[in-house]
Amino acid sequence: MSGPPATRPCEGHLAELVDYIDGDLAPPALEALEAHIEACTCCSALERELRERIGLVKQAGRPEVPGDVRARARARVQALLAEARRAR
Amino acid sequence: MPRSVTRRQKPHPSSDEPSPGSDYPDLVKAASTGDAAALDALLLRAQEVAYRFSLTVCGHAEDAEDVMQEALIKTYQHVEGIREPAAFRGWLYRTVKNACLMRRRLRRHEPRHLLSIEDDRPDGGGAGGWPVADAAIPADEALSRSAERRRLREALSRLPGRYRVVVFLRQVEGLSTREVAGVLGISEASVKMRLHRAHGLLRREMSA
Ligand SMILES: [Zn+2]
Repeated sequence: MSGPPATRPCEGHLAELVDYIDGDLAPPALEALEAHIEACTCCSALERELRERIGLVKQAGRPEVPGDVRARARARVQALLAEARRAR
Repeated sequence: MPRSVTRRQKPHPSSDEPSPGSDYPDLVKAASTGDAAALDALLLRAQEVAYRFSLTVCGHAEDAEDVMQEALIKTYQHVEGIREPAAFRGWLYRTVKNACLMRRRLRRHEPRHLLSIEDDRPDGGGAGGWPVADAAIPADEALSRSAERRRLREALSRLPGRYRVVVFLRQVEGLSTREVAGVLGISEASVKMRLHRAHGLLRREMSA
């Protein structure tokens, strides 16, 4: 992770920062937090850390579907649609 | 929109793909009115969601194909008479979640706590997935970076299941807080609380 780890007092802002990064924070809390981040080095470090981690989580949680699994999925779709056409 | 003006940065600047699934309503509408290509794309995507959910949340790779089959059939039946295309995405994840839980209940000898994505006990879960092959990581990537990723995956797989499922749905799959609440049958406040706790735990593990 980039930057020094945020120290204790900023832990209290973790929940708000997660909401902020997810786009779930609405005004006026949004403006208040942004103003705070500008002024607080510890919270701006924590924001960077969380943003980077959430980016990595996103990549880690979207594994490529392996080629053979994808091929079987495609074959299942074709079989289902062919069966449906026959039934009509 | 004031929010996008005031925000200084996009949430995931490293990712250039659009929010996954933002085109569901259009696909569903097209598929329900007989567009064969749209239906085909939707059925494939339903199976991919089932695959990711099985591996990442349920943690049983061997169940993935069964869950994919279930997602395929249910989606095909559901799309025909669909009235609310906007509700499709939530429906799909709920269906996949239920199929996953059903597969697990068929495993008679499995400890009860593995059903923990529905479990609110403090010690529930932890026996989960996030099993991503290292093959996905470019060979020239710095060693420390790939070690960091490995530690993160391990930390994710140790998260209680009820936290892991929320991280997956909200931050990986990009469902809204409201959609996640609908999929899991919990309040939006609980979704946020689980997400906050998850990041508190991840942070502690990663800085240990
Ligand atoms: Zn601060």
